[in-house]
Amino acid sequence: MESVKIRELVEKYWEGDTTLEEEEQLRVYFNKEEAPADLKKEAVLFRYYQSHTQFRTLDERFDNTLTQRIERKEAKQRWLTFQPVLRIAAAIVLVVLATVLFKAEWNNPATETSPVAVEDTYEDPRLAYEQTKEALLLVSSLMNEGTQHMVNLENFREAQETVKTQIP
Amino acid sequence: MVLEEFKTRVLPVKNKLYRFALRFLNNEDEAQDVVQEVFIRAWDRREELHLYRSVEAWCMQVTRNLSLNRLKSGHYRNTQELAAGHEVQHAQSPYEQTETQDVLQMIDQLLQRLPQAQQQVLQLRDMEGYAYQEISETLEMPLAQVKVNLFRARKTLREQLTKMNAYGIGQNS
Repeated sequence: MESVKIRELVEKYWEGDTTLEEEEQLRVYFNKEEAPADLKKEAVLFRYYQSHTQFRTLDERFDNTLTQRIERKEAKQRWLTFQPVLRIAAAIVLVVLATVLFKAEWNNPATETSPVAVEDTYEDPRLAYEQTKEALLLVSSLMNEGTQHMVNLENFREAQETVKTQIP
Repeated sequence: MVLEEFKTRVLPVKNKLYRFALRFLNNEDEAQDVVQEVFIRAWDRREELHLYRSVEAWCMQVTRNLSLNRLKSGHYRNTQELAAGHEVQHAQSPYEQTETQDVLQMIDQLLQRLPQAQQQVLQLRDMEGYAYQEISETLEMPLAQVKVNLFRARKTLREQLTKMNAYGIGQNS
């Protein structure tokens, strides 16, 4: 670009009259071409502007940190949105379960509460008596057999006592 | 809006937001925190974003508000770490590199000595290429005020740079 035109633009720039396009022309000029001696201060200034925008930047680490923050935020948000639904689902399951159990209980109350032993299992009382007597005798004979062992133990105890008294 | 769409439509504005936050806070970590917060807020409003005339302008406004809140809160850690932030583009020899680096740092300091409003307007116009109307909306400042601030900022810079030139600084850059 011819230097007369540049000088005009520079003057307009200092007066605050340049458009964005004209300022862009100045930026391009001072960053590409060796400026004449009388335009050194403008060259330095525009180089500063370029250096400022070129090197004061944020790298990928910034993007990664931001992405992680947003993802964490979203995960938390999803959980918070989902939580009431889970609560309602849990409440529904409880109500359904309670209803099913209650209904089962209501329709057939005897099945679990009444013991089987209370019900009669005989038809002929005499036969029942005989069978009961037989059962009791069996129990009695087993008990007597147990008592016989106790007698043996008693003999052993007596022998022990005798030894104790005879040895001074 | 899903995350991928958010990344392609909203995230590309991150560097402008970052530089804008830096203008207020002058600390890279603080500025990054602010920009993260801006994007989280934008994500929370992702379903309404299409209602805004310009998502970028909205993001810039939130960046400005959050940065100002930080400045007021007192937790803000201001450091001069940014002085070394510039890289060298045009110098060739180590001597020239140091010279250019020094000049860029001096301009940085000149800029930081300007009133806040002038710094912000200058940054949005001369570094980010915003139209006056966009600057007016972003900074919630009347259009005429935007132009006055820009004119004053450039005038001061011109005077200071002329002085620097008179002392021979920056002649090699």
